[in-house]
Amino acid sequence: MKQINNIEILAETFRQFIDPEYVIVDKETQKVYDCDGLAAYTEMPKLVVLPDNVEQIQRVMRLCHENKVPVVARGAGTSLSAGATPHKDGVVLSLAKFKNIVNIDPLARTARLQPGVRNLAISEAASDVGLYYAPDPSSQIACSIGGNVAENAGGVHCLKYGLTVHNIIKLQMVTVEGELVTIGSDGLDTYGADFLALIHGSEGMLGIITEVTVRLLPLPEKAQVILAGFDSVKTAGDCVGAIISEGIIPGGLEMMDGYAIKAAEAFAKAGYPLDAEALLLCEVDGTVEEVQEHIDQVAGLFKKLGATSVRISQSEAERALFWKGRKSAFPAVGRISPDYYCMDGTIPRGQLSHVLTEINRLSEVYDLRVANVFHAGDGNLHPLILFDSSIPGEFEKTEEFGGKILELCVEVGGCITGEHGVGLEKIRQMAVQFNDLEIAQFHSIKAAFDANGTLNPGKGIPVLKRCQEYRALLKKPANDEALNEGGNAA
Amino acid sequence: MSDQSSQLIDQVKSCIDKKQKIIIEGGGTKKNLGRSTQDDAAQVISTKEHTGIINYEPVELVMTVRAGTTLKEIDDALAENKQVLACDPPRFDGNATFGGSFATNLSGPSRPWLGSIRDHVLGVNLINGNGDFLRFGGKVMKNVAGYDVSRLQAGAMGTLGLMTEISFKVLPKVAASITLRAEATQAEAIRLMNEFSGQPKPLMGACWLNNHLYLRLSGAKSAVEGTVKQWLKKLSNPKQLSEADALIFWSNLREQRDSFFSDREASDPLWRFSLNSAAPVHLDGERWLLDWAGSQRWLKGDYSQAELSAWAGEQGGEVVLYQGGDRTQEIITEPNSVMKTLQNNIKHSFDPHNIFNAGRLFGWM
Repeated sequence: MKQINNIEILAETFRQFIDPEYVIVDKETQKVYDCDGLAAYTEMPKLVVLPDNVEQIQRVMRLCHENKVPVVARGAGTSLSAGATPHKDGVVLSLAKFKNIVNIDPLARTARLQPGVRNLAISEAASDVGLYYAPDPSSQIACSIGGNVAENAGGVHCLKYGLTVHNIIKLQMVTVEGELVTIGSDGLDTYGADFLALIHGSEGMLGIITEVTVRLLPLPEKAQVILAGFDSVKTAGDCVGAIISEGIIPGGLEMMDGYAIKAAEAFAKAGYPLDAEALLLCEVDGTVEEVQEHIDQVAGLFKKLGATSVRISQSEAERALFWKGRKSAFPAVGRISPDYYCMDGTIPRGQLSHVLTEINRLSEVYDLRVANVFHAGDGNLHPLILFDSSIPGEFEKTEEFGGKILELCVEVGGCITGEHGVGLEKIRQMAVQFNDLEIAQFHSIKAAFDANGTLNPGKGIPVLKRCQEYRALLKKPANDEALNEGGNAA
Repeated sequence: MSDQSSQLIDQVKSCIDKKQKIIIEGGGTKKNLGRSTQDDAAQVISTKEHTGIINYEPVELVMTVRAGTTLKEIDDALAENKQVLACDPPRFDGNATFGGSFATNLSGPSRPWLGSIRDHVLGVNLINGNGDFLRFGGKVMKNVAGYDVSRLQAGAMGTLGLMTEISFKVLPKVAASITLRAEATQAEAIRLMNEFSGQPKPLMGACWLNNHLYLRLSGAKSAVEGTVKQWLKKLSNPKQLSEADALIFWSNLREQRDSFFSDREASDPLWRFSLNSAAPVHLDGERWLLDWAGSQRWLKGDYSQAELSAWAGEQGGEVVLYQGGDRTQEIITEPNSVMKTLQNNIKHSFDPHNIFNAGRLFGWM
């Protein structure tokens, strides 16, 4: 087929098989697609399409492939790493119309879902048959399952129940050439290399996910939360290790520092201890007998190790209230600062005190406040850097500070992203975590699925030249603005 | 225990230079899995001497080992801290290595509840087909930087490279365990295993053979005892196995040495199905063993691969000629051309000269 050079002609071709109302070329309507949950990165695409069946997706992909037009798949647009930022010469393929729960099988405990189904909607629908879907990212009211797969989303319950990759058994995917493939099965494994794992967290760079089959779990008989205050982050950190040493794996185990506690309490009025320097929320779930046994053990342990206050939720309402503070921590912090920037590094738990001390030191160096929210059980840090984007240069300063935090995570044996993904945001830090040979292997994997590199270009994996430049830059303090690839940092 | 990484890299590079195929070997316990490949010119590279626990921090629930380390050595080290592997692969008389267990991703009876090795692996070091020594993933529970090269190795049977080091998650040992045995037809067992799996109870094993259903409950003592009391009423002629009998039963099942597996000639076909756990009874009256609450099914005897495969496909799964039969042929039905291209592309991306375990998974790769 002859290449279509003009985007207008491509749009016209799309209109022949997609409702013309959903082939969007005007800038005003396109505006809502110019960024994802990380609004500092914006870009206008050439075209936005919203197909409503898989065959249409295949045709869109075929046409874009033949014409070498970049395609950025988009779910609910809640990514926090600029993974769904449009490409300036490309098409945004929105999966917003794929909202159906195809089937729930109560006996086999699985649900077949279109990619646009919201995370929370799965558990809501499955609750009628006593089941739920375990991964629960904080954006679960809005984020969609296709995006959860693309980012390998986590949440507060993944210490016990795993990430998205542990809870998905089958995917249907459209390749860059427009072919439909099935990856995984209704069984628990398939023969050969684990392609299902490879697709998880691939950030829309290997294919377009068109159907997801998830495993559902029985709703626990009971869940209770212990809320404990501490006069130091170190004591709270020690308690996390102590619980695990006792042989208890809590359903959720979250930590917040003094700044985050005050912000969350002002917002949620959850009864958090305002005088505490650190707070732990520990949820225990299971059978009635098991929960009683473990709650007593954990409460005893907290008291013994020096908690300044310990409260146990006495009702479902109180449990929900304790969680409300944590789940609304990000917007709560948003109330005490014009803007905030959320980081996502992961560290070995034993490094917590050292890393928090270092973050506080950097906070003084950059003169920017930080509130820390932490998935303590699995070592995933979410420092929130508070800043004001109306002050010229402050976002750039914030990004540099954020980059330093990620590099610190790598230095202590952790990684640059636990659950938010690399996207455009952390692409420079990839050069810190991986060497050139490893980055080259990533590029070969990409080429195995997408030889022309038209699926979500510029995200996730940096080009080698940029890696070398960034590493050189780290050796001497300098302004690294010149290295911004794709997307315009606000 | 010793670090043989540099020797392994040298051996791989030398084979690349000579365009010589490589057969990767560890404890040698899985030679009869996958296809049989006759290549007398191939070089065997063994990880058997590349052993040792490199790092183990009980509080972090993370361990890093060299690929040739046996699961037995790992079990012993974990037991000192009242911890266990987070999943339960076969130990094969103490000779199974972590590298081989991960490459084949074999799992024991607790698979549906505990996950497989793949689920708990956090990072790998790997020598690819260019002779490059690469590190992916890490020692932390959550890591989404770059593609998940670590978990991709699960089931690849060494076709994508030679793994030298693997980090994985471990767990505290559970407090109590009770096994129930009851009479059940295969159809009743399929229904009961799935229904019980849908209840919030500490189920950790559900299998059916010889017209008996076996259920293992493991977890906090109070939860296990409470559940036994409730479930006894739902079973036909139930019996609680003694602790010793239960241990023997489940380890024989995990080790594939139950008489179901051992009462057969090595050349007799043994088929393994991975499919929807609630799939109905097929070929009733034939020699079946159902594990993983119905999701993994074993069948002994001569059957048409095409017919078994068609039925497995209808049940959302697949069947592999696990052992015996003609292993020079394909042991699984060929995938469609798109998947075949992707498989070949990924193989090529790691191993451009096709030197690692060529033909082990598929005749065409």
